[in-house]
Amino acid sequence: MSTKPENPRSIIKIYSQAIQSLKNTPKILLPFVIFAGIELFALLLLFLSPRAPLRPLFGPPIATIWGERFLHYPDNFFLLLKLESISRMFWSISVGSLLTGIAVAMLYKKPLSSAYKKYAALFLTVLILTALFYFSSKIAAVLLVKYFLAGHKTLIFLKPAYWLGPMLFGIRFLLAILIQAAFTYAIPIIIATEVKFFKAIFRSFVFLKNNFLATILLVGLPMLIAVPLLVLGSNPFLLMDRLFPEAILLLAIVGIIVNSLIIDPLITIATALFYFNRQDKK
Amino acid sequence: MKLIAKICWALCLVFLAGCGQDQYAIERQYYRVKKEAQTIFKSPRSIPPNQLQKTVGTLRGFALKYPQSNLAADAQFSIANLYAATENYADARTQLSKIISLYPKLNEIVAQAIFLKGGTYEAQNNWNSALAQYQKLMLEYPLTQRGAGMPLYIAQHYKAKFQPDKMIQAYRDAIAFYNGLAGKYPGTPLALQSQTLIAQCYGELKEWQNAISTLNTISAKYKDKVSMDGVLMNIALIYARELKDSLKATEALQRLIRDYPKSKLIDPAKKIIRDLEQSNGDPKDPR
Repeated sequence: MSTKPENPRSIIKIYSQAIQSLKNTPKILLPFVIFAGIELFALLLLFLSPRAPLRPLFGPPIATIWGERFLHYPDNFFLLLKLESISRMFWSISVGSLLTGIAVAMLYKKPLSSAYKKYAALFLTVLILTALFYFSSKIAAVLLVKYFLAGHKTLIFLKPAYWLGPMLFGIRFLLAILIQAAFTYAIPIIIATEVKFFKAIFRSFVFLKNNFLATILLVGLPMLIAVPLLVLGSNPFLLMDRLFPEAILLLAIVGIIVNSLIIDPLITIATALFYFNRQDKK
Repeated sequence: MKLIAKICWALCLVFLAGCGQDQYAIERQYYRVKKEAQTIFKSPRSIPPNQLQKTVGTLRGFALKYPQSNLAADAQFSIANLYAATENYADARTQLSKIISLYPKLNEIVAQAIFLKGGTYEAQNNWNSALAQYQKLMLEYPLTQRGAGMPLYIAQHYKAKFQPDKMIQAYRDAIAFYNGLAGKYPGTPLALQSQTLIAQCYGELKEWQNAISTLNTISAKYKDKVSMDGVLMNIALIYARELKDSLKATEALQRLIRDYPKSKLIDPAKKIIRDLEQSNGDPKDPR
């Protein structure tokens, strides 16, 4: 297996291949469209949760966990992005894992049953990936807060406002890329081969190690598209004050479309093709 | 086809949830109305001539349309505040009188309206008229938040105006007022709040022994009902800073640490004990 880093032309070639695959077999996009539809429906429910007839169902848990104020206009929008993020995590693990497996099976021209049969492995892969990202982000934030609460004025010459603001954002983004990159080949390996779940994860790590730069580019470049949306979403108060509260809902909708219909398909198809091509060369 | 039909029905029901005229819809409407008022509050002296009347009209219309909503009262107050912000004090008082007549049985709302009336007189430097309102509030609505806070508010006014004689008398009146409340409603949260305010008044009068005595009374009466860590800390600070009695300050802090081991004040208490020991040199010094 090659250990040389891919040159930029190869990365462009893979993306071209990915787009060509979508043009030749547009139904590969269908699982992502279904996932986006589920997310949008969930977002609609969350948006309407302060209202009858959904309020009796959603109201008590929201009031208990976050407070009664988030069941009133316009404070409900402050919570909407957080709820959408939690919803996305849930749907990614439960349904997104299977749909991604189906998309890879379509790409590899394998029967769809190869995804259904391996649902448990797909589920566990996405569960571990999501949990790892969630807890590592929390730990990073907690460690920074504890460091500054202990009385330190700066960290590498930067003040707390920088670390707990843009730097923490950058750390989370890097963690997202690294963790996604580590697990990104697990699903193609599970679909393409008959290896067990743990072996598939291990092989994904090994493949990342041997193709580190290429993988980081394949995963990181599409994710950069989400950065402006993440920046806007980091300060909902400003958005609401300058525009109107419903701008948060629009941001969430655009986020779903960008993430589920652009970033996820690009990453999934590009990395699956990259793995497939490497296996072919062997 | 059946599945698609079911999905369509589900979507219709969900969409209909967004169409009702429920509390949320009223809040949304009120948010827009208030946004209009915010532009006046931001720069009350540079608004176009019709802007105030237009915004008042919108607020009034909202209050008339949803009289049962809790936001209707807020809208009425916003009108009064708009008049006050644009220095139309007479109109503000008229509006506040209207609020009092609209909500005669809602004591907190009436108390707030009387308080704001006093505020308009204060803004016109007419303290006597303001005081009349505040005294009315104290006498007629003593159990409301505003009413209970009025004696201190009056005393603090005199303090801000550097009128020590009136300030001292006002604090004495406040102590008598709060003693009356505590005596009338013993063992209640109101009594606890009253006695806390009595201690605060003694602190303002620099009668530290009386303040400590009141805090000790609070601690003895209410230790089974609420956490007294804050009270013990206040006692310790008075001993340390005002009476310069490190021994008694340390005793109070040690009692805090012993009785409330999970209190957030443990670390500050330990730090104060260390500082007191350092400044004294010998922790066992009887002084």
